[in-house]
Amino acid sequence: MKTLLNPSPAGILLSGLIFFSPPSQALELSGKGGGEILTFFQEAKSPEQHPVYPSVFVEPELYYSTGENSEIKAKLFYRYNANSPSQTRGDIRELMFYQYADEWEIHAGIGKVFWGTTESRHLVDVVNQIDLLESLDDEARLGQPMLQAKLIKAWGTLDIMLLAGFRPVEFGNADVRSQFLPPLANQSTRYQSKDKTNTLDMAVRWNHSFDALDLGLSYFSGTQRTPLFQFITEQNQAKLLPVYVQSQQIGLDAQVIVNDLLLKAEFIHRDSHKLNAQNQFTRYQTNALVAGFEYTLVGIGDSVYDLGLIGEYLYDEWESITPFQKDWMTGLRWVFNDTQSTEILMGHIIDLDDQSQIWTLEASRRIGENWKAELNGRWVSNVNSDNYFVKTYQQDDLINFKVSYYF
Amino acid sequence: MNTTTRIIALGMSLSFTLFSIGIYAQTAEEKGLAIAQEADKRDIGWGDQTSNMEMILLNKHGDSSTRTIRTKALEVQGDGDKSLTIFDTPRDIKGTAFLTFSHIEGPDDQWLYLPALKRVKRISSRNKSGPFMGSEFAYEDMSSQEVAKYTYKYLRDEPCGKNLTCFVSERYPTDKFSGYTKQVIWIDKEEYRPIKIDFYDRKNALLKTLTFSEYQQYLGQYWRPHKLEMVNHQTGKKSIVNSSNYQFKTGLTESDFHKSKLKRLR
Repeated sequence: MKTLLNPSPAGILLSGLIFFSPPSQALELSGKGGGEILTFFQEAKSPEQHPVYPSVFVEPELYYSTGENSEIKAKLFYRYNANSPSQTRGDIRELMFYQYADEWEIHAGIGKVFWGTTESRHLVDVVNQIDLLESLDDEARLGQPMLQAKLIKAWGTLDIMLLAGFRPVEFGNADVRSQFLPPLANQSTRYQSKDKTNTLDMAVRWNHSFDALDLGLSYFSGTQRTPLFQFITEQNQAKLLPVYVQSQQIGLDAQVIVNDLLLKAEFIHRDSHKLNAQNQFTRYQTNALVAGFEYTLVGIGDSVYDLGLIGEYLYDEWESITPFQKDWMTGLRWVFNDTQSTEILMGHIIDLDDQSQIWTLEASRRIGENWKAELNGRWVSNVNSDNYFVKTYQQDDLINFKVSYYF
Repeated sequence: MNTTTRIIALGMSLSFTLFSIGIYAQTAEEKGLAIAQEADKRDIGWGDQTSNMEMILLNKHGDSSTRTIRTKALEVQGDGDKSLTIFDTPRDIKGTAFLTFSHIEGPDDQWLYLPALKRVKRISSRNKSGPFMGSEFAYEDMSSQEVAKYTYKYLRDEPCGKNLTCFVSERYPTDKFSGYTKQVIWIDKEEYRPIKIDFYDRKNALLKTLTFSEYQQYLGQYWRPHKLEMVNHQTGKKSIVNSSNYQFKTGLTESDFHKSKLKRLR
């Protein structure tokens, strides 16, 4: 740990310094912006909701070099949604100062990390809160304030992170499709921690490659990103109150390549809390697993097309925070290998207990040099009325068309 | 070469008929291998190199699309090279990077960095016959060319361009995941530089031709082509790579080729 503090002035950790660096260095602007039309097939469940949501968005990225081995990167995001005040909003995805050395890095600011190997669900990836209002595919995340030290050694890469502040899930209001039933409470969110959102959480991850095996081990201690829900009565109506508990999580993620077969797994053990019958917090320990494979048929039928086959088994002992207790995901990825990088990904998740099913479609294609068109779809079938989470998507089958310009 | 000498000596000591065999005792396979080994030997010691590439993809109607790429490579003694490929355009894949540890034996190790997700993904390098970024180059065409990746057979000498004579050899990929049954390679006799390669597909039909041109010599020894042109005879499509700004011995080390450092690349 001593080496971490030695070479660079402690002052780099003060965000103030970031903004007083010499102005001689180059500032670079890039990013994307575009428009989307989100269309629902079924009639809306409430008068605040719409069949079509047109929106425009911009996602600028700034790069500023503060020296040979240091830099500042920023990634901002803003969307204007014509039919949804809840989805008219912005976020700082990244505003981070980076200091690099041969065997270590320091990151200070707001940022995003990705941990894990699987495709259907990101179990070990707990640092950033999901951006539910931007997430048709579970990939969008809110920026997280953090101080991160990275050690890159012969024995692996070690990340030690202090996470300053907690960001709850933004569910939006009644104008957002889909909505939970019963609806979310208007009153404030419930936290187990007295500090509520002013928490200081900790995360540590080690990862390393051994020949064909990539292995990661992680530990998280703090406010669990995924909330549970408490049933309450508000103005004589049944409502859901999001509840954030304190949790410790140990995670293991692995990927091994056997010939041309990729085997992937993520496992977590949560030492967490849930609510008892009196709505008091009680300790609750659970395990969850995602394990599967990805296999690519290269150049099928002597063509240049690739067909990727993905299969993943999802298991989670904690029923009330996720739809994935015992599920199977099948993915088919059709890669055209053309100039426009055309790709189509079909996904299907079936609940192995009640056979409720979620279908997804993701297609993308570059247009010219700087444009990209994307088509996303999601629909459900065979929904069991007891499957709370899948039921939420019922009558909300959707298709989203997006055009982006990259600058 | 020891074996060859011994065979010649043996031939001379026997009869006239055997003597004539002795002259040709270096079989076509041995000569093909010897040419590849000499070409490899002449390119030893470059250490590390960086370059900029502009790849132009042309379809048969003449529509074009351009990718700009930066490459960094590190020579590894006794194994395949390590390389980094970073995309600058098209802009939607800006910052995407491939890290490859190529190996003489066994599959290469390869990681892909996706900047939008901040995700480093280990990928299967068996997918070597697939097109590289929609171009007419396959991944295996772009990878480190090691002697042991092929078996060889010398065919003939042949003029190949202005004042140049080439060794023409066939080479057969040893990797069963290769997209080719064979390649015919023209190597110039003076400097042992590849001048042209014909690629034959799995049905043994002529698929593509790659030509190397605008060679320049660096550090008084190492020849690098500034233009590669790959023509697909079956589709009429073409990909051109213009390389520039070759730099050698820039001080890159093993630690610059690390999956944990892909996020740092710009």
